Amino acid sequence: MSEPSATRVTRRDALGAGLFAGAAALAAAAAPALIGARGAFAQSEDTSGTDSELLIGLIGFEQTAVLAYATAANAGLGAASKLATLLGRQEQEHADALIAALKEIGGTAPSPPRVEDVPGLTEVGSAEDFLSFALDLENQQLAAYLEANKQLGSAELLTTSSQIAANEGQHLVIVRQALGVDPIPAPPPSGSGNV
Amino acid sequence: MNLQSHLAAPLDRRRFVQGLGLTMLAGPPALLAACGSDDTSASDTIDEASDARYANAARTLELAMVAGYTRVVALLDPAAAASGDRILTHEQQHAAGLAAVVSDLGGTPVAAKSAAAYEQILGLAALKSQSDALRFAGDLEQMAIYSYIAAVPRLTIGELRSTFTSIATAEAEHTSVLRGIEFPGDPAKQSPVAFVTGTKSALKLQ
Repeated sequence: MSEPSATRVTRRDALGAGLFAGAAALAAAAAPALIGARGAFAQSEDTSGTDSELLIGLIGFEQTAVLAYATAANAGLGAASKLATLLGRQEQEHADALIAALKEIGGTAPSPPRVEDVPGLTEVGSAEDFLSFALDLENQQLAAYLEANKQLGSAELLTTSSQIAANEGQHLVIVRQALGVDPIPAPPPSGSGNV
Repeated sequence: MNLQSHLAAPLDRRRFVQGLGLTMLAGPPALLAACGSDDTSASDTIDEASDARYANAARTLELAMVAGYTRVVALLDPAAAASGDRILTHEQQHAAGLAAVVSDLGGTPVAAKSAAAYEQILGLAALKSQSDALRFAGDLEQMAIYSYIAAVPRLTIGELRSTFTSIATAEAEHTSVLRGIEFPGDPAKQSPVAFVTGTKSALKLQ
């Protein structure tokens, strides 16, 4: 006897979630921990569709990253500031692409955050502080992209989101190595922990 | 199934955003497009059989990567071999996880080929040095990234799209580790571009 359709849907939706150690299990509620009340998925002023809402959330993450890296780049942290310049440039490219995508579907990009909008950013005082902050930031970004890819409807946006997620993974490797920790701690990446 | 007509099918079940100026795939995926129905990617309809075929194609890829990295690790110096061994473990876990996905979707996980078969398919005899090994491993990873990202829009189960994205990210992380071995102290080499696309490969793994 076949399983009821509702049960089958639930089981199918769970595919992958528990198969790998640390597999993607992001709750959108993770976003506010870093970027405050703005930018979390479903907290959007633009209700024109799921893709718009998701893009607004992702743009919020990227804008936060751009700000954080710019702050660190100008903070005189030596090699960490140089690293922040590199990573910040790529986060800006991500933001620009996503903002362009949002405009194409009639959405409006959120305003960039201010330093005081980003929890913990004003407390970053040393290279190690920044690297730890960056580790958390990149993990949350990756988790957001993995979550978004469950819901994005546009094939092109899914592709772009995947390409960006892969880049955030590369950022994680670099930041972990700068911190002197294991650069690839667990397969596959989920953004679920501050490791 | 006519492969060419399948690959030509548009990925347009949902609205397709045009003209975004974003990095686009150059064409259909080398490996992970060789399966699935025309109704793929960003679909409102779950197609377990199609998703199972993609998962099996991904497992085929991972099994080849396991074979490749087994040779790669043997050619690396001790410090680099530790990273290579970690990556090999990841690929093994990817392959095992994908077998579970295929089974759960009602399919039969593809079996690994013989060592001799991989030796020939991957051209492993040509690898003689650490430099050869790093270049080869990098090429394998780029092929995997390309294939996984190309498959993501074609999967109908959202959670599986997330899993494929996660594995693509893992492969991208591996490229960063490999480049870090080849170019120590140069983070720009480890993250050279903002949009990681991978590279289409002519390798025939099936």
